[in-house]
Amino acid sequence: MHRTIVWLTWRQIFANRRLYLAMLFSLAPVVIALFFRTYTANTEKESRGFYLLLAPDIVLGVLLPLSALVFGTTAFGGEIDDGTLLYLLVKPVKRWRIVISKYVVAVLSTFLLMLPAIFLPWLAVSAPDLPISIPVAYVWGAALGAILYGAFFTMLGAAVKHPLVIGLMYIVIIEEALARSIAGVKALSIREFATAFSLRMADSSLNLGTPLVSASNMKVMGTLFLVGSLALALYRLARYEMAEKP
Amino acid sequence: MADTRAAGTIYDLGYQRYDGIRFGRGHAVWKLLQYSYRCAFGLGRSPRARLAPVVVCAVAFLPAAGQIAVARLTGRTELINYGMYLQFTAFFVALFSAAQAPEIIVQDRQYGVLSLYLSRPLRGTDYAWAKLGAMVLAMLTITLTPQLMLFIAKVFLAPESPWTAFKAEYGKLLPILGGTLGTSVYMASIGLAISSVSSRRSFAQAGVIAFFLLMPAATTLFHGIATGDAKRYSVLAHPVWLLTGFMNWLFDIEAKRRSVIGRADLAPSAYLWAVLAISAFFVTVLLVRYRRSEP
Amino acid sequence: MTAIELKNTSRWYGNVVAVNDVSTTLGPGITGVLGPNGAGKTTLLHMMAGLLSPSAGRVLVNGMPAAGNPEVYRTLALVPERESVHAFLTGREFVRMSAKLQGLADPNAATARAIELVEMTAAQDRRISTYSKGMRQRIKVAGALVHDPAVILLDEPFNGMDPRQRLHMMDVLRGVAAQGRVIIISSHILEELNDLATNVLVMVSGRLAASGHFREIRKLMTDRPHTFTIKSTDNRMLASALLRDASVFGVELNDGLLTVRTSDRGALTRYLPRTARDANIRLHEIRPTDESLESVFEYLVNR
Repeated sequence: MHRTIVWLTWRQIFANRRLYLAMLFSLAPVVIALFFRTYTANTEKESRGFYLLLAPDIVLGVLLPLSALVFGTTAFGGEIDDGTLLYLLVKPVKRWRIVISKYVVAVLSTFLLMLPAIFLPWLAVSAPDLPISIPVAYVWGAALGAILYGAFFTMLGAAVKHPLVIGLMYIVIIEEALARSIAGVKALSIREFATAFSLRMADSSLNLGTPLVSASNMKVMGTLFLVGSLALALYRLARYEMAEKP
Repeated sequence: MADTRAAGTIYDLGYQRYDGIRFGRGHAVWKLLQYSYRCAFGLGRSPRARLAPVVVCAVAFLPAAGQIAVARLTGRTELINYGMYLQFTAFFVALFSAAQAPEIIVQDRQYGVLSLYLSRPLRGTDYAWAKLGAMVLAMLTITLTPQLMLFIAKVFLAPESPWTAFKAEYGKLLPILGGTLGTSVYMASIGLAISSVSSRRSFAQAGVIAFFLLMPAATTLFHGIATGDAKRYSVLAHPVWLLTGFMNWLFDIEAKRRSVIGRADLAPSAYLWAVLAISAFFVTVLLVRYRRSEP
Repeated sequence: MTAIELKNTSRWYGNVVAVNDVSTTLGPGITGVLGPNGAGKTTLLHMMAGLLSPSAGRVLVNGMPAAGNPEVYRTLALVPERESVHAFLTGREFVRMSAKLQGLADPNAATARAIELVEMTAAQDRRISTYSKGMRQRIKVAGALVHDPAVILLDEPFNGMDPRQRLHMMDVLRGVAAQGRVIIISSHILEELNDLATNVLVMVSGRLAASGHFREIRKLMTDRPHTFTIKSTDNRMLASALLRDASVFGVELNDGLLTVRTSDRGALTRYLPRTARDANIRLHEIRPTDESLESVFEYLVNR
């Protein structure tokens, strides 16, 4: 990892107004929670149930993959699109350090965006049987999701020509459509890992539900995703060559 | 051979001035609409640009083909069902909007071509209307055509003579048209409005997909928890429920009592107003974005 | 002594050969790489910069292979042709980033020095997105010079510069070259390298068409034989009249067209009208047939 590259990638992702749009995005769950408070009877039981649906389904289910997608693919894709990756390649910096720097920024920015998305609705809903350990459990899930998604999408940004579209297809086809219905595919879905991990990290007394992916599956596939993606990204960067302008 | 006269002279090389017809604003808008319509289907571009629209089109037509085939084989044309068609294809229609709305509206901005368009008699809002028209027409093509196929199949495959079948069915034509038009305007305006904010195609696509993933999820969640009026009106926020309710109103179908729409028990025309209002909102967003004739 | 060595270097992409068997050694001073667009100049420069590995042959910078070796960038710098620079950074941030990526001990001092060298001190705190094209070129050069490299590769650096900026950049490059560095500048405009490059490599269609001292090459290119096609009222008579002049060394008659080859264009333009008038021949059309840069280089290659 190289501090300057981290700084550069961070600046690039959040150049101009994109930062504010991203923040708006992370406020969506709070808005929903506020709707909930204003328009419903919000008894304690309902509040708890609401939050237990909001966090895994909306925050981990939709916000996490989409923000990881945007940050991950921009980490490399942005530089490639702008044509500025060259400047990093003609420096005495080992290419794996470039990959890791960009990966770290992707993970951090996704994770930081998830924090308000998890905690603010919890604050808004505030029920006595919703102790803080519940959002904390989801934060663990978000962390795992950020780590795995970050690797996968950073790799896409470095390896393929249309990383966002392909990432979207992964999210929509594998995670949305298939993983919901076919049990075996769940082992390919990072979102399922994230949700399962949150459930595991939560105290069983909180009774959040049973994880749908086995621990061993998660360890194996998770490691595969992480290491495989980063290795592929490194391979693609090492082979990256600047072609002549036609 | 170079001529070496000392004083500068301008030679008449025979350049002609153009004294012919110059078309005006309306023509420009119409041509832009045509061109954008073609872009929405990836025509006139590389084969890769056609991939997404072709795939989505094919999927949108599949249920129609399926129903026709079944009707043909079993001879029972009443299996052909317009009103329910949307529920099969809602996802893919939204996907078309997400894939192609950015294609026709963000590419101009991304490649800096927008200023070329706006330096013509075209105003900013004209540009927006042309794009909207093109997108609506494109979506109309993929929603209306399957329905018309179903209609024609119903008429010609019916056991009685085509003319009798036609007289029985033609009342459905207006609802078919209205329904597809409404769906198209709704989805097109959302796709275009969200895309007009971004200057990169991939972000716009992500944005529109985010909307069509987030709204249903959030609304389902909210609907599950809410009570009373909020619960009933939240049905209007969910794209698929809203459009299904809209179709029910058009085709005069009574919603099943236990379905979400049945339980919401809203006035049937409420769906119409919701579709119109939401579309109007997004169209306004689009127009505001392009109100100034500067890129 | 710092040097770049190219030994039978070739690079192809599938069926397209971009650089075809180039061998040469480049030493200190300014060397120009000249050629039409698509001749392989950028590919050659990128191979020297280690961004591309040669499909055949070797590219050595100071005895080490250029590609696959990030350490080589401590003494090498590339100023790419494409205009894209990080638009969201200020000029100073861009150069400073370059300095820090190079691992310099005192990045701020080096940055200030480099920016002053290209005379961008006044604009250094503005975002690069607000720079004109010439300013961007200059800040790119600053970023390349910040670590005092022994080898500097510039790909069409004068693109988009106005005459004053160009003269200033030439001064900067001359000053830097005088310190014993190896500077390679690519261009497709012969005059840009005037007074700048001592040696020149001419590339046409990927092959090295000529190399040597700049003045010599230019003389060869302009003093080459010229060909004209002429239509007149009596081609044959005109042909025999023209042959009497010493500068004309070939005529060809076919299909109503007279082709004249001469080694001295100026002499022919004076001789032709007089001859035609004396012989009472009317000239309908005179056309030089090989004025394009391509044909110039073609000639160089076919020589």
